[in-house]
Amino acid sequence: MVIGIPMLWMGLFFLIPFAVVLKISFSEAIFASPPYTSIVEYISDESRLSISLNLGNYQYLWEDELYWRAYVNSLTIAFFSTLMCLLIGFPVALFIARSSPRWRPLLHLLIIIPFWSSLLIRVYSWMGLLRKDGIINSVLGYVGLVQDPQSMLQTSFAVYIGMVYTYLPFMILPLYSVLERQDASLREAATDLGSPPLRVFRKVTLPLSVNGIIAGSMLVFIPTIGEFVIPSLLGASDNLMIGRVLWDEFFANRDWPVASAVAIVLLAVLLIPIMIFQNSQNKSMEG
Amino acid sequence: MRDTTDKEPLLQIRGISKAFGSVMAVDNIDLDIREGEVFSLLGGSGSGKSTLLRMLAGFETPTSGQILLDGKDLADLPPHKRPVNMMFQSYALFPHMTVEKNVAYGLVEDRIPKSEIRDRVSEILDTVQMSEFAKRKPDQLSGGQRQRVALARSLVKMPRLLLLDEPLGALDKRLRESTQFELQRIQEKIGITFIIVTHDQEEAMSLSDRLAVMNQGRLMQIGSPTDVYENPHSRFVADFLGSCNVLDAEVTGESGSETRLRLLASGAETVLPYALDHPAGDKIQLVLRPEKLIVARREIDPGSSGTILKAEIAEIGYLGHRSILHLQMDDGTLFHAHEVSLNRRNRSPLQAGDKVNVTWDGSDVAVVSA
Amino acid sequence: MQRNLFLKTCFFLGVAFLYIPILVLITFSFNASDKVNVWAGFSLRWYRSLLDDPQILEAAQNSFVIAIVSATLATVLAMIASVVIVRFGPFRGRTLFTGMMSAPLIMPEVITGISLLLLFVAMQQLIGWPANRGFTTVVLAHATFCTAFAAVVLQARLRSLDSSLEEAAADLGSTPLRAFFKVTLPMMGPAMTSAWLLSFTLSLDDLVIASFTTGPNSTTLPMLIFSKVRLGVSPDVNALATLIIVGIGFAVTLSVAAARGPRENQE
Repeated sequence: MVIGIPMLWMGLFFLIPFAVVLKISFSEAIFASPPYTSIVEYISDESRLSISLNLGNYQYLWEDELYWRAYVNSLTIAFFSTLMCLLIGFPVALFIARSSPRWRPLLHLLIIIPFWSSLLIRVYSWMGLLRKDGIINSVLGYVGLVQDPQSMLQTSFAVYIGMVYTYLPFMILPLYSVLERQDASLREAATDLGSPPLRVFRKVTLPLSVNGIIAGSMLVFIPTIGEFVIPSLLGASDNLMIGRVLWDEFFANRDWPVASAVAIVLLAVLLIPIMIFQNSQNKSMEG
Repeated sequence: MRDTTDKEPLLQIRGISKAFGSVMAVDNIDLDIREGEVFSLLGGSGSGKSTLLRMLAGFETPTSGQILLDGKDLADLPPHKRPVNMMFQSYALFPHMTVEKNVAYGLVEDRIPKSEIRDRVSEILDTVQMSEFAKRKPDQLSGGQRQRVALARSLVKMPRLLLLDEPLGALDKRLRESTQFELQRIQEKIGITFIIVTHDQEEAMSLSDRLAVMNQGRLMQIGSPTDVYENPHSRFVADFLGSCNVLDAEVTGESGSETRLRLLASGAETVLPYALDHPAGDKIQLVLRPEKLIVARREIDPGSSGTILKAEIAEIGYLGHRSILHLQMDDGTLFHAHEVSLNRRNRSPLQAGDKVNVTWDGSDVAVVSA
Repeated sequence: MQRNLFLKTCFFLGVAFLYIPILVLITFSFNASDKVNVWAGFSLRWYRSLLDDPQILEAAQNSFVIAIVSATLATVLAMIASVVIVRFGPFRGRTLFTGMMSAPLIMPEVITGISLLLLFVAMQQLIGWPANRGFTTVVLAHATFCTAFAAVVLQARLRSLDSSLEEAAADLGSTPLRAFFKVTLPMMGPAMTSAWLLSFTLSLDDLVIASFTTGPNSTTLPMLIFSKVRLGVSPDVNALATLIIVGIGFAVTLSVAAARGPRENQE
């Protein structure tokens, strides 16, 4: 009996909500509480159920360039952020995995702390650094690199910094757990059979890290696409990401049906990456 | 045993040491390995045998000393350029590659033409009888099969020297014996020099032409298996190569090619049929292997040692092919002796509680310094 | 050697990148000046001003209560779920269940947020509960996504636990349930602490999901910080942020120590 509780809970609060979102994405916005029409109506004088699926919200998304741009923009930013996290994160994870067992827990902890720390505060900390009179400009000005300091806030650069900064630990941790488990004698065997160090990396270390690379990349890529806080605090208002569009649609415009449609399309976009992630998780559980 | 003594040493190890912090893992070792021989480094964990092996492969850098292969110093050769291959204890088979790819790995790294690689891989897989598994991944193989693939992978490059780290260690007992012979067959066929690291004395003795016993980074004794077993130079070597009875004794005199001794526990006299360079009054230890003891209930003739000790059988451990007798000697010490199970219908085998006489042959006694 | 140097450089640059912004923020929270870029001496004035701000105190209290309740709920749920996933063999719907447990880990928060809100609204229309949004709805939402994270920690520990211990208990006469409570659960203690602390910090941190699911009277700390931060950098937010960072750093260290401790004893 007890074992059913988490299933019921997750079903109720995680699975069913998607159905509700899907349902509301087919309704129309009205000025009421809640601000949407019901798609199922019982018309009493004709004694029949009327189901009206309103595809208008999706048509709206399709036709308005703003949404297109936001989706494409989110995908682009997520892709390059993931790539940067991978390029920075791999050597960091490799260093921790190859350091002596005495130091490893401490170095690992250095990555875990930011992983747990408040995302909001971590993003906020960059606002002070990137502003026109912020620390970075002060330092650059002092060195003489910059004469006429400009605010780096509200630029794509700031968004990338924020993304990589926030999600780097999400890349490092799965990479580390894969690299740490790798048997050192495999690398020695490759060396013994004639591979110089870089080829050992390419032919043994890298192929054996594929699961970590996939898990880390998905852990960065998926949340980055829907990220709201970073683009709102660091990004420009004309360079929208889809998370912020959804937020504004919901809170500013109070157009719940369109916001729901935005969420459903986003979910559809994420379906394949999520399945890749689940698959890599299952594999790493088995192996 | 092949006679390899007249050949030039293939590998010369000269005063090699390795320190980890303040610990001397390997302490000033000199060793020559001859071409074509099977040599075992035998020792417990922490004896430095693996460190020595890893220095030969190039995974550890010696703190001091030289390693010469074919007369050339290996110091400046990184591991991937040494004509030395290793078979790892864990086998270290690449899990993302098939058996075939694993075996071909070293040849691919040597830029050998594809057609030649194909031929050599199939030939070596044939030798280790793994041809039908060429397309499998390592995790689809049994322990014994993995061992063969690992062997094939390290042999296919035809190294000057093959290092084997506990080659049979991961196999169960039954598989071990058949694999032992298999390994010997392959070595004889290919003729590559083997250096085997092992903690298992039976493995070392049955596989090798010569072996060295290591302890605390030092070589305790080098020699043929029989030599080291029958004539241990130290108590440690005697203990390490099987069980033994150790008797404290004092030299009482020498006459020609005989040495007379008094056993300290019982006060009995005993004779060794050879001269010792110990003056009278020296304390020494005698090592007697359990299988050399003659045990009987009846009166027996003393062996050439001239000694008969009285004892009572405290316990008998039956092992099938033989029994181990625990003997409570009248002088208070404990002996172990072996009794071979010769006759199934033996109506009156030795039993616990029997009073027995114990003797041995003087030439079966080894002497170590006390 | 060269390669080690390369990795070492990457590591230290990476760690510097992760820590410098936070260290700058912490430093400037002790700044006497209200200019956020000029150092004018050490002062605790921003910390004092936090204590005088009833809005902040109320939001902090809300956040703490929500975090404690939802972390507890999440740990219990995740514990049961982990036992089901790790110890029970294949059952119908297992794939769906494990998928459901791990999907919230990566689901963008905006999606989780909007879907939970719409669920609560729909439930209110259908069965009249939850009557209004606020404390209860945020707790339900947080417990849901924290369960996924807590389950990762607990599953890892449960997998490493020797199941023969439970079998030994059964062999000595315990019913499966008693074996679980007398053997497994005590050994899971450190991991449960770790899972609870992780859930606690996640709930304390969350802005997006709370914003969607809360009502007018339950503003949480991150929501308050976000509304302040939108207007720009301010020194009292620096002070508040410092307190949160220090608190979380402490909780993480504690949790890692809790998760590691028994494993080292085993060795």
